[in-house]
Amino acid sequence: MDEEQKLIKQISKGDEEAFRRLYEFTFKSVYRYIYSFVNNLETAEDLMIETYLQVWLSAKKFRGESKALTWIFGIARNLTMNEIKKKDYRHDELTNSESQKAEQFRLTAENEADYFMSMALKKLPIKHREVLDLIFMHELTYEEVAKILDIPLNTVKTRIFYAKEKLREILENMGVNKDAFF
Amino acid sequence: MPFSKRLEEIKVILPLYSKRLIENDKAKEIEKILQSESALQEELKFWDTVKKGYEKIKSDLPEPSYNIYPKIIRRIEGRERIQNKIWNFISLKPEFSFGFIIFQFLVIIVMFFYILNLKYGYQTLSTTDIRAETSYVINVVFKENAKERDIRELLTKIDGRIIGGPYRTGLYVVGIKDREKKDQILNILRQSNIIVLAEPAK
Repeated sequence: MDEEQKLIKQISKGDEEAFRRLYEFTFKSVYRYIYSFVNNLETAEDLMIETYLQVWLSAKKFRGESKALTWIFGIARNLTMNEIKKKDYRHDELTNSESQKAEQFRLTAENEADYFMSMALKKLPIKHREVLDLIFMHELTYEEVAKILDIPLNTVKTRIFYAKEKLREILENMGVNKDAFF
Repeated sequence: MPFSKRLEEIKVILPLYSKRLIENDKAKEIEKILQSESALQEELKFWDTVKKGYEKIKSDLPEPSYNIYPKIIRRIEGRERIQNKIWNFISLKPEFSFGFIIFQFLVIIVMFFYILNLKYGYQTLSTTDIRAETSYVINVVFKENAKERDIRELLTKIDGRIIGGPYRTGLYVVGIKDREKKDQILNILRQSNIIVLAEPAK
């Protein structure tokens, strides 16, 4: 049992200091995870509060079979997906034509492959993006991703494959020279 | 394992390799294979760009506000305060606790008497509320081994009902609606293999 898992055990007994320490260890990752979906400060903050409230209330249910962060991500994901069902935040972001024009201007000026890629990643459907988010942003293994998303390991691999195909398609539609990446 | 299958496996875990999320041994094996496999090199180049794209996204993400933690604590405390109020109401008000115990005690007593009064036994096939419908009555004794299903069948056949019995002698009184068919019905009853006796009642 690692330190964070021990903290959850202490939280289950009502230890507020353990809760504060767990928050300090995890809050940045959890915030990034939530914000990257909702793209809205206020909503991300509300979801953070709900997530950690659930951590406090559900600590007794934590069986220690996964990392603490994986468990918290699972809670955050459920709450975030419920919120997304209510309102399509990413759609709002993508249809914001003003900001897109500005992005394109910077894009031609900078002409960087990673910038094109970051744009393409933001356009990925949630189903594919969330797998890549967890690997590339939060450095989780396929097994951990499977646990958080509650899907089989092979589905994680399949989603990565389709995410790659989709990214290629998006980049092509953006008129990006494929030699820049492949 | 065939080399082509191994290449496919490596292709699947290249995102992890790109993020250095695999063990050293595996990483070294991949490095070695990568030197000779241009298709894998291209694949890795793609995932490296994805990694850089994410670094860009990550750098653009806002930092979480330091007000979030106090808000979480306030929510937790708010919930606990409500829970404590409920608990205090139950535990600190002696009259409530005492009342609750009395209520439970009464429920147990009521249940006890209810169970005591339950009628254990059997219900007969007889009925007492159809005497007015019947115009002719027949005394009947069924065989001891007669089954309820057979008795019901027979009663349906003669369109009759048991309106009395069983008496100590094993006698039942069967009422029939159609007086004109009394002889025919008596014949049916007498010929039945579950009947010992069938005689018109006085």
